[in-house]
Amino acid sequence: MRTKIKEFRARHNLTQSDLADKVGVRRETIVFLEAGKYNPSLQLAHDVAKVLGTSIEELFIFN
Amino acid sequence: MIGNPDWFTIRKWGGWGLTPKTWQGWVYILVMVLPLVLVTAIFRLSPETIKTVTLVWVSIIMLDVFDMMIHLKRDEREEKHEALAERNAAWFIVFILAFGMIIKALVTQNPDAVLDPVILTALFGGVLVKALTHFYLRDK
Repeated sequence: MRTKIKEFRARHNLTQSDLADKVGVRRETIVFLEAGKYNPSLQLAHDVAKVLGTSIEELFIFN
Repeated sequence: MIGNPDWFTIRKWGGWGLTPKTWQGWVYILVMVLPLVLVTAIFRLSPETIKTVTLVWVSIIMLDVFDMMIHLKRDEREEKHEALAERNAAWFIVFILAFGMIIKALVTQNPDAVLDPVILTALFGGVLVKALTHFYLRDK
């Protein structure tokens, strides 16, 4: 799994901590999410996509 | 109850329980432990009274720590990691207890060796807790 979280986060001028606070997780979770090492729940994927103003399909790329 | 879960973090590397992450956590430990030390060390109490006071006080501490462990905030990744770590620890404990009792009974040639009430309570209690957890989660 790859993600475009970092790219979208930069567009919205958000730090990892900002995004973590907005979706209610720890910063480490965002770090692993961005690196494609953590497979999030549908709820978290939805929340991250919503904060970044995009869709889950756009944000997460499954090979 | 008494302590605040925000003062602590779940202990990951050294067993079970909580580790202070703020100064309030350290103060909590001091405040909770000091009265017990003072009561048992300063006052001339009978051994029976000391035993009772210790039992009551330690029970209060354990209940409060348990309450904080339940209410401590975790995100979904932490919950998953904790669940897997606890599952692996539980499997290891069950394996050692069950296998250990069988080996002990065989080596000592004494079937009573497998009837340790504490170990049996732990094992059957674990079975009950597991069943209750599945019952609670069945529609989720």
